[in-house]
Amino acid sequence: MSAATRLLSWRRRGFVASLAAVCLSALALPARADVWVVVPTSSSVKAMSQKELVDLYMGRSRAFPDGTFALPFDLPRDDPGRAAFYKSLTGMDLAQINSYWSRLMFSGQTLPPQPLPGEAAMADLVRRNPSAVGYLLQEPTADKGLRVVLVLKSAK
Amino acid sequence: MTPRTLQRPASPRPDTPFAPLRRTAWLAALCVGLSSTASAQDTAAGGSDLRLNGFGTLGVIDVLPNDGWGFRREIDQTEHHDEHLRADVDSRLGLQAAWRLDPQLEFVGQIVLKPRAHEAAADESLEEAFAAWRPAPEWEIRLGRTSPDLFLLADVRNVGFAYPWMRPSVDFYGWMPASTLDGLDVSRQWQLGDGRLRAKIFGGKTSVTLGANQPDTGDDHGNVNPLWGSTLAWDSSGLTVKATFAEAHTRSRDFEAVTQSYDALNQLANLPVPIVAPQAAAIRDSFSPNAFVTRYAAIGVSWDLSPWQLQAELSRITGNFESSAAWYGYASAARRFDDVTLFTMVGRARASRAPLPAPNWTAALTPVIGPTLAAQAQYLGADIAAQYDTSRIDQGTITVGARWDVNAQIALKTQLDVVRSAAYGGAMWGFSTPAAHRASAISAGMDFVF
Repeated sequence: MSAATRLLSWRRRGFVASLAAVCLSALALPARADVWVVVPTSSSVKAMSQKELVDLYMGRSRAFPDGTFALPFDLPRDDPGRAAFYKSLTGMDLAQINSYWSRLMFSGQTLPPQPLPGEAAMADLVRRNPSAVGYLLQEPTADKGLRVVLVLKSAK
Repeated sequence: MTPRTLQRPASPRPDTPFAPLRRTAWLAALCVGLSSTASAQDTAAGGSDLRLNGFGTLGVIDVLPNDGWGFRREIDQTEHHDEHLRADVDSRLGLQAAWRLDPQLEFVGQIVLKPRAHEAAADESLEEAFAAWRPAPEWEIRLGRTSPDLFLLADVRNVGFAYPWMRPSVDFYGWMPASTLDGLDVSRQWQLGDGRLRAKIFGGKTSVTLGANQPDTGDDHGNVNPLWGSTLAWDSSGLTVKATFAEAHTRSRDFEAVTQSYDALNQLANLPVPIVAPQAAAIRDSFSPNAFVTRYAAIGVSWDLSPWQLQAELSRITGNFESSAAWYGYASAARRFDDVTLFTMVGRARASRAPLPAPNWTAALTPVIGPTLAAQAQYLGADIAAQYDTSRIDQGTITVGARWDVNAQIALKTQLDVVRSAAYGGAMWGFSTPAAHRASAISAGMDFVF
């Protein structure tokens, strides 16, 4: 075996070892959840399906599954967290989402979810409004007045 | 649409087509004022929600050949200006203020500033001003100025960011005069399995000003009362199917002139002059001495099958105003490649009634009613027949183009339209002639929302 071939062989081994390490670490960690959909603990809603959430955040429904009015909240229009949320929820990017909502909003059909300044405001407001539903990019702690009703996996 | 038997109102014309914009500047100021109030609102409770948003388009269009026919995307636009690179076809700006007190009560106001007919009233720029009340999540009642929910894109025609093309199909949407409805609508929706069924009834009135499409005529003014209708729509997994039926009763503001013309033609139709009587009857029957009744029946389908977007609509217009009786339809396919969308569209508008032949009555009538009355009868018959013929739409369009989403709020677009108009079918154009016509329109523009 020439020196060059030996060097290539060791590089291959290193690559395979690195790949194995990544795979093992991935197996060792739980599946990463990107977006936590939350309601206040005072809400009657215990869980939601992704379709029910799509209906709320795309203006197709105004109510939770139990028939009570829902008040969905959002992050600012260009917030990266908002982009991640809608990508996970619908598979669409923000330009598509904004185009979709411009059709509903400017035709007077309905307003998009109310934007809030950030996740802290989202958590605070959802906690205090029994009709609210929002989303967070970090898992909320259990005793903060919020209930997780759906976990959206990150979009590929 | 009203017959062009109307006299031009005595009020002077504004100097430019943008004059209505100046007259509605106070409305824009009102929205801005509302916006400043909005910033002061405390939304911490999450109940009250006051917002100002807007949309707009900056667009230019060039039409080849530059032979005097002026491109219009809507018949409420002014007659053409015979120059290259016009910016007054697609450019527009909309401002909307919305105040949601709680999930059950909402107020919305919207103005759209765009070049309109010379004699358009200032309040035609007020596209929406209504209160929406939702007694239950599945019910909604709106009172005030809304949009007649006739077709898939009827109420977002001005929002370029909402669709892939530079403009909705001119063959389908261009003729539609009523963009607002002062009245009431009630809607109900049902969740059925994976889909949603929506039903709506609406009724009210509106007024329209149609831009002159011939050099020697003024704008047309009409009061539409009542305008009522219903829609039924089904949404499921990106598929939307919508069916509409509506009826409009339009009365010209110069209705006395319409009635006088009808009575005169009726007298000519009863004369014992074989050449004149049947032609006069045909011209008389092309419009009504009472309200013009127009009935709309339409079905539309859109299918968002990412990355494809497919859409098609078909409508049939009937009524006692024959020049608007027609079939209208279009089909569009768009495919998204990351931030770029390529699209194509075909459209067709086909008048149901044949053109009216130009009368030649003078020689036959002179021995019967004298030369003066014969000349007046000839003028009346020729004028109304010509106006009927120039109100017919018989054209088709093939469109290709591209949209690039620069970011989440701005899109750049370009498209090419090849339009063929049959003889006596050029009503969508300003200063059209009875001849068949073919033209290519090249457009580019920027749509934005904020």
